[in-house]
Amino acid sequence: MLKFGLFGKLIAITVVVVAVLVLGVSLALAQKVTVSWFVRSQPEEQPWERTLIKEFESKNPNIKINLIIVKWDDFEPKLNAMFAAGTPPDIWSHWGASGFMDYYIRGMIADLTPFIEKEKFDLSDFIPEVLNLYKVGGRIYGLPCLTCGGSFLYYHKGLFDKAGLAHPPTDWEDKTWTTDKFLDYARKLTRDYADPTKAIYGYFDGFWPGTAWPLLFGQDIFPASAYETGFAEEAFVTHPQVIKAYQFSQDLVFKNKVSPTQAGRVALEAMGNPFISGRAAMYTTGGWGWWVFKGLEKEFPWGAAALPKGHPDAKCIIFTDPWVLAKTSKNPDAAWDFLKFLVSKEQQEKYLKAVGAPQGRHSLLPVFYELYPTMTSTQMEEVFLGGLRNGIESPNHLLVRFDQIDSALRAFTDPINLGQKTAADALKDGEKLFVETLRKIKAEYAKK
Amino acid sequence: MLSPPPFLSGGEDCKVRVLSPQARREERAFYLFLLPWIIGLIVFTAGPVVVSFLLSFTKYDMVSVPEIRGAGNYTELFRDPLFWKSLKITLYYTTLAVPLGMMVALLIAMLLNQRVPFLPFYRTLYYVPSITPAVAGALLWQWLLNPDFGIVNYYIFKIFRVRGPQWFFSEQWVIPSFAIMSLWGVGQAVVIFLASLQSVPTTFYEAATVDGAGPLAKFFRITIPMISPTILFLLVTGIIGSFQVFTPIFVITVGRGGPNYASLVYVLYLFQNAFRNFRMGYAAAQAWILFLVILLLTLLVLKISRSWVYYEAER
Amino acid sequence: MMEARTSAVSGWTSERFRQNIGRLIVIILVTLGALVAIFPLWWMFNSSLKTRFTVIRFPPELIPVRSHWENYPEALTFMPFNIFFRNTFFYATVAVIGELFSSSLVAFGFARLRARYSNILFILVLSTMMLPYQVTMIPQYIMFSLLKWIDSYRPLLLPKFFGSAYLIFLLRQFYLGIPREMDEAAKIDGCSYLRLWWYITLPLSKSALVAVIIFSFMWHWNDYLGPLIYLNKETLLTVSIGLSWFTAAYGGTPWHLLMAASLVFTLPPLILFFFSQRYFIQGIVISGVKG
Repeated sequence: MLKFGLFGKLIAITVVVVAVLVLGVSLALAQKVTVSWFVRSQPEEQPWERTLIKEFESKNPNIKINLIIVKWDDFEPKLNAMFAAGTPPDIWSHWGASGFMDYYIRGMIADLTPFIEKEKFDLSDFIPEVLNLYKVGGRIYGLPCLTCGGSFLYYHKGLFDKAGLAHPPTDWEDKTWTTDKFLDYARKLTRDYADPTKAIYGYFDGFWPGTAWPLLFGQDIFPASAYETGFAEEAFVTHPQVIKAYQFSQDLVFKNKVSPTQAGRVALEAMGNPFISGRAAMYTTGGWGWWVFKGLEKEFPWGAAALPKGHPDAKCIIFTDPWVLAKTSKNPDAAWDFLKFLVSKEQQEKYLKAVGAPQGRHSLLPVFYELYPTMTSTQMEEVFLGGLRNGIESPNHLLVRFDQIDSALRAFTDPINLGQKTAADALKDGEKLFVETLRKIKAEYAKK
Repeated sequence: MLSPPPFLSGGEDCKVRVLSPQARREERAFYLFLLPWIIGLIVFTAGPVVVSFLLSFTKYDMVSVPEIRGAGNYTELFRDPLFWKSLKITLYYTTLAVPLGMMVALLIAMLLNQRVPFLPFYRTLYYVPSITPAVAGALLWQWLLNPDFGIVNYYIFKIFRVRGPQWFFSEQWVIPSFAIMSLWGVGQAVVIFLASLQSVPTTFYEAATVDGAGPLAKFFRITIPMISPTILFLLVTGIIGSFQVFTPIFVITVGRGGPNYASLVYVLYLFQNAFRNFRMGYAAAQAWILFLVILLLTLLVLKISRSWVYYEAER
Repeated sequence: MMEARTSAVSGWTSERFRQNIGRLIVIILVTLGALVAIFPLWWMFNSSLKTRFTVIRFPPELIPVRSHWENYPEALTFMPFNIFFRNTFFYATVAVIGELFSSSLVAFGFARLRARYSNILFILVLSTMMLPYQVTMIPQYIMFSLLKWIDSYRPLLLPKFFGSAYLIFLLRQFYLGIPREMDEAAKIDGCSYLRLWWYITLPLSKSALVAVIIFSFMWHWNDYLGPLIYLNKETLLTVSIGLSWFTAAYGGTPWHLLMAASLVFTLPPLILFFFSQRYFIQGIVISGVKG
């Protein structure tokens, strides 16, 4: 026995609300084609992204760009959800936990070669080493969005001058800039190590991934073939140079006391880079320092130098990001038009000037060299090309499931960083499981 | 709660489930009241749930079409050491976080139920942590419990003259650290306990005082039984929630579950399999096993609850 | 502790004294706890007034030397937060209304009405909370995508009108704690179940309903995953998404701005909570069966 009065009112309200939501107001943009551009959250890039979209849309009135900005952690869930539903974003880069090779292996990215050949798209301005990174089997799958160059040693000029030390060299070939000399400098630059509230550290480790250390001592953990095929079946975990490298990094903290402990790093890095706040004299990291530190020269005078070498065959890690196009894109031609626009010289120059990220074009390098008041353009050229010419692209871009490999790597290198085991012991203990992980990855993901 | 329907017509010994007209009317009303939930279940929930169950028998990387794998995911899981490890870790976390959380919440709620000046302000302040963005909360706890730079260890050293534990960096202490951190979200339970404490008629306490009962007696003979439905609620939802804990671990260990997988809670491992390793089928199998575990545990708790939960409405 | 011996007429001064000491202890404990609870909020406020450089400093300054109030307008205009705020408010409000009504209806059914499969259905309700969302997320997304509901609020809001398992459970427990005398009296008067629900049960469970409103509002105000997965168009996004855009991939996050914006958006749920206090104060005194 339901009285219409009360019950009816409730039903009516609910039905109205639900109906409004279900039917909704659909904005029919039937004439326009939408291209979705899936990017990471990086505050400095946002103004550039918006301006670029406005420019592109005014030049291409029948294409609308849908900008989707996602934080690093959520990049993969959202990307995969969109792919699973058959509505992938059209253009993106490897800014989540996956790398280029992961996308290639899963058949997510389109072969750009037909597009390029059809309109004879001019690739001559691109730096060949950078362009070739994202070719598989001779076919191009990505066009460079940016390249960090290599990894570099960023240093605080003020702290160096105060300690009366000569600035480290920008020339990669400078044989005097060894890891021993680097250690010597770090010792001289460290003050008040025991007091975390006042300490100034000679060195703060910003290397990622951890394979950067062995590379500095001339021996990569992965075989060179891994970067071609995307899979590694063996690893040089207990090679003497690798052991030496990790031991060196451990000693920086515990024996030589020039670098903070893991816990210390977490505390110092929580709200920003301690290098910026003058608590570290030297900081090694991938070339994203170019845009993290850009424009901060007034607050602290910083410079860039070549990495110290632990071995004549030392190498550094290069990080290059490609724009890729979804294989199952709903509007591949419009997406290609947008991609061309993104990698055009004008737009890349704007990106460079706005953010500081170096581009993969020859013609834009001189512009890049001018961006930093505390470094002359000759110095910039020397240090940048030194890193680029002596580097190999990061395994996280070229090895499938590097994310998983990195976790496995950390499982046995964490005790080194926490000072619980010597490098020799930790690496010996971890070798078997690590190689097993590599083999499992190949078994699971390699195309049959 | 799990009692048989007491409204059989035709006498108690009649085995036939025939309903009286009044009982039929009541049953019809029951289904009408439940209609919103039933419709929602069918339309929004059933599909995805069934699909996720089917996916647990496939290999699915979210980009290509799923490949049937039979029970392969399940057998692989049972041989996977990380599966067992994550289950153990999650169990450990739950046994620490749930009782601790409930006791602290009840304590705070009882304190706030007293005649304290500026009570509305105090209550709001206690609720603040629940509203603070997870990012700020995680940062704060990382600082507080930082082994070298944090104030907790600083005071431990000052007062007890021993070096405090390595907290989030130690394999032994990382889960207890997260359990302590879970107290941060206690505000929600406090609100629920408060509402529940408020609904206990004051006449009961007055009558007890007249009979000469002391505060402890009042607590155990009046308060606890009267709020026992709420305790059951918080216990069950606490267990369900703790078994699925994810975000704090994800934020602080940057998705890794370190050190050395010591904080690899079940759902974190699931997430890794789903979105880092692109093994959605495997992850779906994990999810369904977790579902079973939680379901069995909940049924157990509910069954036991009959002996200590008091429902005023069933007097 | 305190002994309430009502027969101890003599020595009442000492008893009063002990009661006051007890109250003082309670006040001290409660204040200490409140200070701990409020510390992160203070921390956010503190950081929001610093600059990009001073916010990194370790050890952090507990009281800022110079306050940069201009961070607030800068943070709030960095992104279209006015649009985000409007969207979030709309989302949270509609969601609360949907969840409140649907959950209380269903909870009433479980608590007050007897039916043959009631127990099994209740277990089913609970079990919907037991499957991790990470696996149902993709099939659900695909389902909504086939309906072409992606990039709208439909997948987010419509399910709210069909009950929330947690809230159903919560309200059911409350309803079970309300004595049946009132119900019996009403039924004798010929009242329908729906009227019973609306006119008697709801008012008697006010404090629980207020709790439901507070929780539901807060969850949806802070909901990140839902908007992240289902919303793309910038004009639809919520505050939680906007805040995530402050996070830089390479450690250049402007914490001072993020804290300022986060603090501003923590306020509405707090204000809601503060003003709902009085509903917690009203206890229920069941004096009789007066209908």
